[in-house]
Amino acid sequence: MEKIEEQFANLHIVKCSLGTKEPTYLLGIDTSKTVQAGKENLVAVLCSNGSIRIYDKERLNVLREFSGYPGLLNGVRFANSCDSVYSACTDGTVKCWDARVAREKPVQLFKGYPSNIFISFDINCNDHIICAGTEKVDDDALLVFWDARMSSQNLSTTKDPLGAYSETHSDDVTQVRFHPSNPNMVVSGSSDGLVNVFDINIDNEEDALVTTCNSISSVSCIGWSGKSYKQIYCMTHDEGFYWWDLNHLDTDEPVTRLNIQDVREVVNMKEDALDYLIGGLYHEKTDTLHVIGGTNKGRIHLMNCSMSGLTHVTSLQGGHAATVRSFCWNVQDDSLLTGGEDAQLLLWKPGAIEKTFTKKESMKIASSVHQRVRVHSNDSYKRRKKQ
Amino acid sequence: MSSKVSRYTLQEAVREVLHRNHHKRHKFLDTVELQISLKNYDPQKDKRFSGTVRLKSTLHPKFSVCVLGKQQHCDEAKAVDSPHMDIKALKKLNRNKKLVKKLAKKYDAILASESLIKQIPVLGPGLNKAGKFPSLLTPKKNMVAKVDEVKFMIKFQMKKVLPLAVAVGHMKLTDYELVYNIHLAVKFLVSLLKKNRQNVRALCIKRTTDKLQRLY
Repeated sequence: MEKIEEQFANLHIVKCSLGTKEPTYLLGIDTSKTVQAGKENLVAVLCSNGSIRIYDKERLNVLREFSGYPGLLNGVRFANSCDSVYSACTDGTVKCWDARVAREKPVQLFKGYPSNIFISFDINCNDHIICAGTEKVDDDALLVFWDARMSSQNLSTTKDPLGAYSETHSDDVTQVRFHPSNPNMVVSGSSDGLVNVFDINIDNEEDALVTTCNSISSVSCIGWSGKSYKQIYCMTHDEGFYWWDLNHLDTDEPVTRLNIQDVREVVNMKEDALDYLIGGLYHEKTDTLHVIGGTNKGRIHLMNCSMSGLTHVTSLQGGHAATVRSFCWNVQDDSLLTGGEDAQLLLWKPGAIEKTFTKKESMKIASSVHQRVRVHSNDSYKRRKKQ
Repeated sequence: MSSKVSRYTLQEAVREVLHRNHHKRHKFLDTVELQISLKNYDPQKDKRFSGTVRLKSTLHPKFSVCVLGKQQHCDEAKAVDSPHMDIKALKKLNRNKKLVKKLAKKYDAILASESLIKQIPVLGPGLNKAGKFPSLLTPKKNMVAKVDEVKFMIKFQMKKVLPLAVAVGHMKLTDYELVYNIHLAVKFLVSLLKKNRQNVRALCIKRTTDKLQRLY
């Protein structure tokens, strides 16, 4: 069985998204879980200008766009059983659109409580429950839950929450991740450093809290890993990496598998640099966890994760020209989609054919300095000088 | 120094802040904080600027730490007169919200052995909400080193309101200690910015009751 390292090393760019009129950072990527014969495979990308763009996966052209304006959108997720795409909005709602229909107004709207600002969310594996995390407002940072099932009667509905958790985080809830196969388990991460695991089948919040792990920093990314997904990994905004094994909650063995304060200091990159972490990738077939990181110039690094640490395995280059912010690995065809601050969406596929590809340097978004400073033309200066 | 601040400027600034004559008299010990203003940074689309800085000297001398330990850790804590609780004492709290709140209020930070950290949900989410959930006791050799580690950590977070302020010491530190703390903080914070120095507009230090002292 080919290891993921080898697959990764063999990746080449086969497609690049065409430039759009408004360059924007590509902050999140998700691909449709339903494959319909004769129809395009869809990719949804979260853009920093507050929109979700739907692309055709093979041609990488923009099919349609949805907006959360005037609020900002956070997170992007396809449903598991259909092509509904969801995103959480700072206006206090989670919005749902039909990715196949160019209709501006959301098909479904999940309303939060007054003054909720949603910055993270997820939908569970059977599409029944949506959970969104809020910014800290006054003293509260909430996890809000809704019933996500579409009612056949109304086409466009607004739903109120089922309830909320309010006692387990003391700062912005930056990540929410449901378990890949157990619809009742969810993990949340916050800038208070805590990673909370809940069994939402249990009635009250205190009893639903299975365990709390502490990254002592600010959580930027969390994921599930391991056989039957009983492990949790988390990355922090200051480039730390933590890995916990929930199998050991009731044994004498330690729950902590790995505890790295600053990955940039411990991973041996040889001559290269590691500037930041992007996310994690658990490969079911080989039961291996990988960490993906990058450089500010756009190089992507794949690292292996074991209890003895992170090891750099291979890198991808010639793709992005700036910080890489999102990726999505497709297990079916071993392809990789990456999105960066250079506004590019790249499709990488395994294969021996080396396609020459020119980096789009011009896609780098002009820094605010350049946009503010006005260059005076030489002519006008010379004219004045002559006088 | 990797940032734009020269060692000389930093030393002079620290000298000013620590030794400048002060007319106001007050009982409490002033903290010294580092203020960093960013440029070319958009909090709506750039990666969140948030995390924990680890310094070398204490941020305030009266920082209190409680150890929730297995037998061995409790014995070590007892030997150095450090406040501690074992699993029995923890279970006695029995989800009593008032007692858990009291525990959270009494100490600036809590450390726990691996075996006890698993049991914290027994107390309910009181420590979570209070922002006092324990850190893991590292397998360092002595208890003092373990406790000191948490005393030297300071959380920072860039909220929408710039600039970012991080405590880096107090008025009773020596010049050298404060210079070193500031150096560590600046180096770490700048390393997290994608344009490093180019993302920094200004750096200042300030004691609680005085004006800003510009470093850069």
